[in-house]
Amino acid sequence: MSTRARRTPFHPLLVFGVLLGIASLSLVAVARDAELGTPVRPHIVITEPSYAYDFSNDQILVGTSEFVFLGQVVEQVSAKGIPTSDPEIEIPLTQFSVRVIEQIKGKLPTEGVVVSQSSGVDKSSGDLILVDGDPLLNPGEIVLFSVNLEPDFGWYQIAAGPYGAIRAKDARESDALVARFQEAEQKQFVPVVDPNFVPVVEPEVSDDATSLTEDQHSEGRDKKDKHSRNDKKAKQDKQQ
Amino acid sequence: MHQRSRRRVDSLSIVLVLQAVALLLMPAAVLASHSSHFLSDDSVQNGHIYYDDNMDRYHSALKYADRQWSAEGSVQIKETPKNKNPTLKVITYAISDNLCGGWVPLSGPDRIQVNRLTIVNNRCGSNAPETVLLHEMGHALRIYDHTSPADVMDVMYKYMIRYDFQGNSWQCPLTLQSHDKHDFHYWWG
Repeated sequence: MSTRARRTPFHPLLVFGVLLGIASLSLVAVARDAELGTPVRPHIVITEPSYAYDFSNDQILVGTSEFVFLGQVVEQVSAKGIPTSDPEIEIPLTQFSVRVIEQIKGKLPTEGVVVSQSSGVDKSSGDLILVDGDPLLNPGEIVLFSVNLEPDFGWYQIAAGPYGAIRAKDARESDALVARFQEAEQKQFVPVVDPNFVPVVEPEVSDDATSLTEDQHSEGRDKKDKHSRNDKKAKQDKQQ
Repeated sequence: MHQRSRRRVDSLSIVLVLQAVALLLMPAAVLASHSSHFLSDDSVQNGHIYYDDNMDRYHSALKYADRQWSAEGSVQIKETPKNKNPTLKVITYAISDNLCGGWVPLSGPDRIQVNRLTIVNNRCGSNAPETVLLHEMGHALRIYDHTSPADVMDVMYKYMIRYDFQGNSWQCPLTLQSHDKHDFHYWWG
């Protein structure tokens, strides 16, 4: 009686054995995946972008894009990133060949069109970066594209993240999208550029930059200073 | 008589239970309304953002943004000292995607990327790149985009230039507004 009462439903050794078994199986599975080269799912990160304009407005989206068309994604053709001011960092982009179905703004060739999406795998971290959560395009998808030509890269860059690549679930939805954007093209809104705007080329950089007032800061933007801090650092490194 | 008082007790207990449920749900609702203002990540480590400045030509704009947010206290934003690792890298690039910039919470140091092409084409407003960096630094401090039309003059408003199609337009301001500051202090104290 007393012996029975002491018995527990799960003997500690039994529990330990089961846990050890599960752990071993997991290790075997991981090792097998590594051996077979099973792709490890990348860590997905979402870029929080600041947009030039409110691209949820079709008139603005069409007015600021060179080409607007309905197309079908054929396949991913490359994942070429673009250089940045840091030689070790690239902005990851992904390129897809697209069959043009219907042109709404601009004249594109019907074949050989490659669009580039501002999302992709970051080489330095291995993370999959999605701009504003916009998932990578998939072959077969019917998409309403708003793009700009990038002659240096030989592709059409999708404008404004997810706003520039609107997926249609079926034929009815793609028809509706075409009608919607044809109307937007008729009423497209092209923002007027401020005539007084002076683009920043190389603003003055000095060690006293932190003590500048806002007005002084704005004035400083018009001045050129060829000795940027990078140059100064490079010179110092050279001297050392 | 006895039945009537019992009914009264029953209805009283229902009211009390409902009040208790409402009280329990209220903090969750308040939390939910505030959490919509915040991202799930930031570039702050032990009260600091240490950034690597690879801004090529926009150094002073980055300093300006760093100064504006640092003035709010609680979080120190500065260039990475020699004995520290960066929590943020700030870079520029150029492509015609009509984005002014972005904050990317990566596995390693996070990244602020500023699009020179959109800025030079004056599509981010006359006060860019300062405004773009102010906005992105706000994301690095966990603050989410403001999207309500009432927030049109906030630094954290999602679009750099806004039109109402009535002939009016607004640009992202050069200084933090009360809603921007409120969000910062709500999270960072």
